[in-house]
Amino acid sequence: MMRKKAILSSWLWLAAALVLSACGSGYSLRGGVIEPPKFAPDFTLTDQNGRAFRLSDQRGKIVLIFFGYSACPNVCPVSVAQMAAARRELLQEANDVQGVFVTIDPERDSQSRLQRYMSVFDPTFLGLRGSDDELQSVMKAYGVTAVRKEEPNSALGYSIDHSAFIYVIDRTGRLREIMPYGLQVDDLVNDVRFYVHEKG
Amino acid sequence: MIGRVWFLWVVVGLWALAGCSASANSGASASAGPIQVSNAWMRPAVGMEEAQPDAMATPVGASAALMASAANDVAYMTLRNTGQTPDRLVGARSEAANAVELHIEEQKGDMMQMRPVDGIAVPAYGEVKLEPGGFHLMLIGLKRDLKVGDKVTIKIQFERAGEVEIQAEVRAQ
Ligand SMILES: [Cu+2]
Repeated sequence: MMRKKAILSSWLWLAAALVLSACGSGYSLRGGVIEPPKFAPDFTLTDQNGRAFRLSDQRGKIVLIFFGYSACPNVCPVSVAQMAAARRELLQEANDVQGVFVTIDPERDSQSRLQRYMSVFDPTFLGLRGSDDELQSVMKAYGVTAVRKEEPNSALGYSIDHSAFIYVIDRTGRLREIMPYGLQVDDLVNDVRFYVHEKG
Repeated sequence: MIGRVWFLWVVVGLWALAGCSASANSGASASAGPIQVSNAWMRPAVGMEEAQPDAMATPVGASAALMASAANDVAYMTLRNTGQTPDRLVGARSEAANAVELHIEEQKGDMMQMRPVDGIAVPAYGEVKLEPGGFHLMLIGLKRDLKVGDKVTIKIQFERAGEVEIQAEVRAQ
């Protein structure tokens, strides 16, 4: 009887701990959480419609950023499609989410190419490009690695080895997560929903 | 009465035959000799731009500039060898793209990469899957948009079994 009580109380403690951690930072987030969060480096690039995109203008929205290139076979379309699927699943919270694709291949990803590429995923998503210098500084600020590999035996001419994270930025412009490739749409929905409902 | 029944059977027979040949054409699998190809699929993609001022302004043969505005897609499938001799996928072509290449995708730590390969071995009595994260056919320079439900004809070339014509289905994911 005593033993049963002890077990019961330890369960209660565990439950209390879970509730407390849910109130704090640990609502079971699934991406690579950045603790403590820091402000996401600001940048200005040009979207697929020719308009300037400044990250700090997005305050109030959850911004998901993926760096990739349109000739990328699998990882890039899968990641952007996951971002789009997550936004669809969020339904009424969807308007609080801005999906962003930044090309690491401005040579091939012209503005019109990006326009067509982005249309496959979500009409609200933005495809950004800039000069080599502008992109290099954004990539450096976010720790994006991209290495061009010449492919003389391929009609592609070259491919780009690259890192493949989804960067999650909250309403106040702080970088909260760097999600590794391979997470599921559910994970993205789970975490984005947390940031959507988070109080200032 | 007998005449009538006979006529009916002929109709049923013809209908069944038509059904057979139709399903052989649109079916998800194709074969040549001991090689069977099944579950061929692609993702939705956009084709090249209709207007290609870059390409027009460039001398013929400047493929880099042509490719600068090109669009690509990837095809996945399962290759099965029911025979006792190993075979190899060595090439592919499609009316839907300027070029089709054999590629492999690999993850090295945090880095994602893609490289062309000379061939893809299909072991005797074995199978190899072209799937996300591994081997794929790369369709370079798509000539049209590919939407969910579309079918893309691809001819894939084996060292021994020769050419197999397959239909890849465009799927949401
Ligand atoms: Cu490829």
